[in-house]
Amino acid sequence: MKLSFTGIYLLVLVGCTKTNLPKKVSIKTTDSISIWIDESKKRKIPIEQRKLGLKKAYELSNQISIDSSKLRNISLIAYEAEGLNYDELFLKANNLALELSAKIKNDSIVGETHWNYGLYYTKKGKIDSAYFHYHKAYEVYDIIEEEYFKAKMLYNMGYIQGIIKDYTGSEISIINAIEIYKKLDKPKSLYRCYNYLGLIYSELEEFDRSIFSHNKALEYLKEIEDEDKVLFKEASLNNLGLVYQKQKAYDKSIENFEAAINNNELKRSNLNFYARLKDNIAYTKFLMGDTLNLKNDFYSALNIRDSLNNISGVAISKRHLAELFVIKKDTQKAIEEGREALRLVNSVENNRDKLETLMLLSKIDKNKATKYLEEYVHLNDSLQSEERKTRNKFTRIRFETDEYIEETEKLTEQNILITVGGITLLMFLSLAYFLRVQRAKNKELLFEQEQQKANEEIFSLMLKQQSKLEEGRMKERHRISEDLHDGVLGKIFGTRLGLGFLNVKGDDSTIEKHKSYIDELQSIEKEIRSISHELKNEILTSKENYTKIIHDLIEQKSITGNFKFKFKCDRSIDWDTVDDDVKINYYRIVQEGLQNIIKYAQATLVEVDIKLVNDILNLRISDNGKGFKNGKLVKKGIGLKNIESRAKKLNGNFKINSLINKGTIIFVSNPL
Amino acid sequence: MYLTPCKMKKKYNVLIVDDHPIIADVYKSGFELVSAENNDVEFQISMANSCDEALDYLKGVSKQNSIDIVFLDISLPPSSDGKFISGEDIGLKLRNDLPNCKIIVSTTFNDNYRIQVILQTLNPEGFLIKNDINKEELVTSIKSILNDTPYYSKSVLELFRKQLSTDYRLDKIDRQLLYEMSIGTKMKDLPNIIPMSMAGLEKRKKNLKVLFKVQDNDDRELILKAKEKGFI
Repeated sequence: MKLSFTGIYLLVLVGCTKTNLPKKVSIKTTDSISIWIDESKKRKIPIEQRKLGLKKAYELSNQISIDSSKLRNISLIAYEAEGLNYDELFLKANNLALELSAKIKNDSIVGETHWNYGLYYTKKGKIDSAYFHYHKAYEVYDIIEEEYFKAKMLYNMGYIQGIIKDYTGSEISIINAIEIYKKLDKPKSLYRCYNYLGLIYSELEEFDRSIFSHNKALEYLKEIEDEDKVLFKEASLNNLGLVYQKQKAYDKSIENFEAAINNNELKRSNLNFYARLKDNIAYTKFLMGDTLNLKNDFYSALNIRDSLNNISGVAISKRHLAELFVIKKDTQKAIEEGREALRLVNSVENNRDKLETLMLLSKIDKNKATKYLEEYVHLNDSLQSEERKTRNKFTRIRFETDEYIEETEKLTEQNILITVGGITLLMFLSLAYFLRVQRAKNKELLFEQEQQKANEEIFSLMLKQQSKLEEGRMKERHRISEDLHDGVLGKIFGTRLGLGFLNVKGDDSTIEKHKSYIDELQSIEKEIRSISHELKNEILTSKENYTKIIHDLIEQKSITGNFKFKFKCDRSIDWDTVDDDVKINYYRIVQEGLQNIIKYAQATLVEVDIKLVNDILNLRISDNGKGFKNGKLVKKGIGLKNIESRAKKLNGNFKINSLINKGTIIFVSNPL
Repeated sequence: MYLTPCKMKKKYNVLIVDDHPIIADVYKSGFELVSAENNDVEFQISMANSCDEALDYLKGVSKQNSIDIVFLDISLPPSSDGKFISGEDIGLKLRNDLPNCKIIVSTTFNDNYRIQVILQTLNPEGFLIKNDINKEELVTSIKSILNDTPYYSKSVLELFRKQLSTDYRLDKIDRQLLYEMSIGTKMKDLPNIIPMSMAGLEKRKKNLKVLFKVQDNDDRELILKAKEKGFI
């Protein structure tokens, strides 16, 4: 088992390195820091020199004042330092990177630093710390929705869970990673996941599932075009062989091992792996009961491992040999090899192999069986409790996260509540404000309407007053006219004729005089008659009511403003048929216009002209006052605004024209 | 100077209707002057100062004691029953009751419209505008009437002349419309005076303006033109 795990262990690290690299390279810059960093990447250069270069890069980076670019360099350096196993620099750089990235809230680098820590602690065997950091990185990537890295972290977490035998947890993590990888279509990552899943199922003794997973891994392997592919396939075959071995399907097991070992390249590229396969084949044969030539096979594997100083491997080989010697009834040799294996295992602190070796020894070394068994039980218990503790730790890490998430959710909920409340309040307030404004507007409108109505009333009263006045005057004139005509005239006529019939005695001149007086009386009659007529013919002498009102207005203003005026009004306008509204507004416009003239123009002559052309009523008010530069009227006074708004109200036009010292012309036109 | 005594003096019953006693008196003087100049005629003169008095007098009229000549003023105090508001109404009654009676209208009115109307309704044998006449003309008019010759004073003759010289043919309503406008009656009050709708009156006014070649929409000009042409 240990063997396969070791193989996977390698794959995990390779996976992380591979994917991170291109990203880092892309940030390549031409400054000295990046040169140093590049230097540290060169495999040909001795490791000490690479470390030195990296340290120089770190020192230079530390002087950068801009946090973002400093962070970029530092995180690069941390990553490289981790790769070079330069612990001191790594811890320094990664710490700084974490600090900086948190400060400037660069989440993706926060994730990266945690990832680096994860790698570091995995390497150091502090798997609980590693798990913690992978989990942190996972959280960060989850938030910023970096799906690919998130899946990687899940895989790393699953891997560590597998190590501490939390197989179900591991299975969940890996399956979650698989789901993401499938979406992203990452065959290589999928291969790793299925391979690891196969191992997990094997541990759970779900062999069918394990075999299915391994085959799935091999399927994905076909989609990978990579130079590492060869080793991947051999590793998978090896793992499959182990599953079959466990399942006691020894033929199939050997078949897979041999398929792996048949690669001629293997011996050259990974001798350890080759030895492992050789050992696995021999051991499977041993389990089958085929002991022929096994001793040589075990020894050849042992020799290779020994030559490579692979102590764990040598220990395994020795244990297998011990088992072989037991079968061969060579107890003495078996015990010898077993004890040697135990010694080696103790030297590399490999508990898993130690347990197996102890179990074996307890079976073969009858004298010390109790002692070995006790040691076995003790170690097993301690290991199990250790694993349990770690598992609990992991659970706590996850639980804390869950709690944190819950807390965050609660806070988010609160936030939402506050936001919703705030928005509601704001909406309510703005609604209230809106209503208030609307009401004020309505009030204003109502007020305006009332004012308008009042205006009209005042005007119609004025008109009525005017017409009553006019009527009274007319009546009076009629009365005078009648009196003159019927009374006075008649009496004079009678008197005159009466005088004519008088026989005046006297000389000729007296008679002549008498006659001339009579004639004089006749001409007086004529005069009176014409006066009477003129009095009566109202239409010929007096103006129309409205015209009169306007005239009076201008006259009155002319006294205030001390100017002369000319007022012309089209006589053809039948004011009786014109809307009161129009009349009122024209009256007001004239009033405002004259007011403006009084206020600003200092005019000496004002002309007001009302004309009807093609059913359009034109009003023109011109003066000879100061005027203003055309278009330079700083702001329209309330008077002009009123005129404009009145003209607009009537659907009419308003124009103002002016020249400095030439006066101003206001022009209003409105269709009737 | 001897006159043949057997010759019967022609006797005329004369009624003078005028609200001014002084004028009535003058007319009487006129008749007296005529009868003094001409022995053949004799005038029995009665006087009435109002419509009521004139009507009272008419009640007492019989075949034997008819009225031959009436001097009729137009502006008179109306009758108490309100049926007769002017001399015009009295004239109509006279025309109706006593077809042979000769009427001399004597009035201060000298506007063409009124003259025209009176001419049309009463067709008087004499038409005197008070201001036109003096003693001589008064006497002449009386003499003319006695000779069965109509007599019109110069304002009336002037009107005839004017109307003969124009082609316009205005009917009664047109004339009335113009007259009412000329005395300042408001358009809106017109339908109460003239039995026509507002729209009809407006149309007539428009037509009149076209007829008198009045430009724009000027009522004033229309009236001036109508006056000039003798319609008012």
